[in-house]
Amino acid sequence: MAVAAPITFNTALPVSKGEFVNREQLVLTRSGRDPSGADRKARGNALVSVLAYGISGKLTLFGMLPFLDKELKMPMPGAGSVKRSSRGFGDTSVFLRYTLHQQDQRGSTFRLAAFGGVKIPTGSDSDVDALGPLPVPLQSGSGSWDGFGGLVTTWQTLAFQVDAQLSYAVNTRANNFQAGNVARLDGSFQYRLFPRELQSGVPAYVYGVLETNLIHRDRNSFMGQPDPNSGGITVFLAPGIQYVTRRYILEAAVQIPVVQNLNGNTLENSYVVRTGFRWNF
Amino acid sequence: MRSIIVLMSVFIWWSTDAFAEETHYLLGVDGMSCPFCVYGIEKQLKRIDGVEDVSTNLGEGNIWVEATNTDVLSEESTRQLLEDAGFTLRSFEIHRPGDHEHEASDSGEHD
Repeated sequence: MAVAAPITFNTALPVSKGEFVNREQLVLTRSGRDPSGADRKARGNALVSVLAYGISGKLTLFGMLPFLDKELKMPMPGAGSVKRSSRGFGDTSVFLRYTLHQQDQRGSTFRLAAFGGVKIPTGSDSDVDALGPLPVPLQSGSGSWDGFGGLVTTWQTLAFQVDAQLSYAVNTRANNFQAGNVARLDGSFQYRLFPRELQSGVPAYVYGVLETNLIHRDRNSFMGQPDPNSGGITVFLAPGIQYVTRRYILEAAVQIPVVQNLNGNTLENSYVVRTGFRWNF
Repeated sequence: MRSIIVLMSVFIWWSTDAFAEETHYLLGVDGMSCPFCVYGIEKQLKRIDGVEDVSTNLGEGNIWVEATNTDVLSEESTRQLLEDAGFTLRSFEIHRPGDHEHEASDSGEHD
């Protein structure tokens, strides 16, 4: 997330030593197709804050903290339907990214980086409402220490950029619940739409962006028993746009699920909207 | 008398300017491919004592540095600065005003 980079995942591009990059992204998730026929609907709004610090030209430290606002509408026997919600800071993620291979030429670069980190259970996992404890998916925090890591590669030229990432997250148990592990394969293509020809200086760019996310989630488990109505495969296609200057980036994308092969009665995604900015300071 | 004072003032101004040894460095930078990359490099250069101005040409992959004298940057320190920023020094040239020839160095680190 250091330079012009994917909107829905990370990049292998550097953060200068001793410098910071801040990213703020608003993520609006809407789920609506309910295979169970119960007409459940879920809404999630998140403001995700990321701070990146360049430890060296190859090593970057990231901290990520979301503020979450979740709501679930579900049927209630004898009462029609009921809405349950929560709001608060979620779990904090801290990770390092290290450049394994770097090949620089005039006007282009190719990088391969490894990253790895931990998700710290700083969010609340015991919120309650009038009906009692909130379901686990509605809690702001997971209550569990989880690990994740992967590889990310970037090829950037003056005209376009291609990024790809392979990652895996291992979730541990908390409160008798364990979320399924998650494997992801992400890709991004960013093409410079403006200016068409580069003049002197450092002009602002407008990139057209097309990204794809293949996400496989294992089944969740409760008290050691797998939940048949969880997990599965989702493939998103995400068109987007970026405005890139020396100092800041403005960006927006919509993730559209083109494949959803989810287990049992898992609530399906309708769409995810992402918009935000990044800035150097 | 007045004309003598004016002439002496002009002479002193010219002498001071001549002795300033203003120097330009032309840095070839590899790996620099988008506007957001440039900020970190320019910020690092501007922190150096004696650097007065920095001007980047993204399309050419070059950075002009205006400095007070020829001791402000060296090829080695510049290579390290760019590595710390996450990029690679391709070439290092020193341009002095009035020079007919300039010092140039191709760092030779082409991939």
